[in-house]
Amino acid sequence: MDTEQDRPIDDYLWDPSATSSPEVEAVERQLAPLRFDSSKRPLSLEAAPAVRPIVRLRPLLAIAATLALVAVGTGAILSWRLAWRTGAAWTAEIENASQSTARVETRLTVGEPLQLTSTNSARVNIARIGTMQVAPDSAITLTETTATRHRVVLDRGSVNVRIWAPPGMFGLRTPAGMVRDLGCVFDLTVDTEGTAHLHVDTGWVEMDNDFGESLVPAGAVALMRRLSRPGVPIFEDASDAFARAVRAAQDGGDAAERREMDTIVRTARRHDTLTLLMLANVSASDMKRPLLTRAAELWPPPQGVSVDGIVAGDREQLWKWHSTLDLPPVKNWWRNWRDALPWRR
Amino acid sequence: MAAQGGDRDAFAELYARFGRCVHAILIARVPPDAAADLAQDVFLHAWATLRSLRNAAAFPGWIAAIARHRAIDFVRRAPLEVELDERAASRDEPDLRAQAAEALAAIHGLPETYRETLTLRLIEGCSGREIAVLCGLTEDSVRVNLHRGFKLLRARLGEHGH
Repeated sequence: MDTEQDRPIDDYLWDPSATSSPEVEAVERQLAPLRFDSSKRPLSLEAAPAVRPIVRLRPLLAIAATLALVAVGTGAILSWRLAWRTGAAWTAEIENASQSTARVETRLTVGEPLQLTSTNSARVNIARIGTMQVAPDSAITLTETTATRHRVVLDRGSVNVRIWAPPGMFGLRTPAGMVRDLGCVFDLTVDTEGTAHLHVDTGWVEMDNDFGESLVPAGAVALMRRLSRPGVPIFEDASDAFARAVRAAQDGGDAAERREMDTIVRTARRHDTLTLLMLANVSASDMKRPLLTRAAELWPPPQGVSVDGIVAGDREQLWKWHSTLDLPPVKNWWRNWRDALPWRR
Repeated sequence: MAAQGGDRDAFAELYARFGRCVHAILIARVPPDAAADLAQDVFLHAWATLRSLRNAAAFPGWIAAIARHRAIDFVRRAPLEVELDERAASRDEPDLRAQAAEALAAIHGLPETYRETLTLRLIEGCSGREIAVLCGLTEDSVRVNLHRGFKLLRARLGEHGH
């Protein structure tokens, strides 16, 4: 730094492994007796207080606070969504099919029908729990709206319903029977004969009337005719032959079912086990066996469940078998939270 | 760092690795025998409070800071020069210890800026880079301190006939 002759000194001062400098070494030797040797002075940690385990309190508290905020926020949003004054009108937008920009805001009050022409559709807010897209030529009437129950009559036409709320809060009465939302997205059409055609996108929907009931999961379709038991669910990816045979068997009574049995059993896939079990549940006793036997081949029953037991009349066994199928749980409506997102409406 | 979880062996390794550095920081300010005892105190204190160290990589600077605080506390309570004379005279190898104490006294007489750098380098053999990490200085600053500090030390030792 100061002079060229200092360079070896500086180099050795910087790096003790470099070429030594006699001048620096002389001082090092002089100071050597003062050098510290940790091996000659071992630490006695046994007597010292042990280090307490590291608990990162701040991050834990931050996470806990965030979770608490999310829980409180979610609870507040949910209560706000579900809260509704009895009889309060719903809001809706009527849209002209030929002019997508022409929209008229309207209100849907209890008892007042909304009848759409062939050129109009409507988007109805179901209180705050969901939305319903009503197709042209449809006729609906709001019959009841409270904080726990919303009911609409669908006399004709089609609706696409998107609900995120506890099961049973929303229902549509059709000429063939009741269609009850169990927390999901579905399409429902009532044709000119009053038959309800149901297609479920997510979650479950229940159909029931004076003759029985049917639970329909996501990905399945079902029919409900006037004065008939609601149809069993049929997955939309089932073969045409299977779907046609199941419908014919249901519509035509025992004779038709016997006629269609061979096709049903032959064309059923593993994914159709639900249809087989539900059909067996409502079939005459002599037709239960072939349906259950085929179901057992496709999706073996759990321990303690047998075809013989169900044929003998033990319906508990059939529902135990049903619970092993790969289906969404009915009670977990809240898992379909994506249905509540505004951009999915 | 395993030592933060209470691993005594891991902490013993830290002691073996950084004990010399801590000692050099102490001996730049306090008498030699006191420095050795204080070095142990510093590590015992560190062991008890290691959980407060958030970043394990900061251990060298952290233990160096503890050592400096400990030295300052000690000096406040015990006058340096009396201790130096008494302890230098009490050793088994009086000549070597006396010469070492003399050289150390020369370092203690230097401006504070250079003392720690020189004890780290000349007593404990730390490299310039190690000193930079322990003292929180840039490498350039350490180079300057070593150069100027050694030049001053050489002059001081020369005055005393070495």
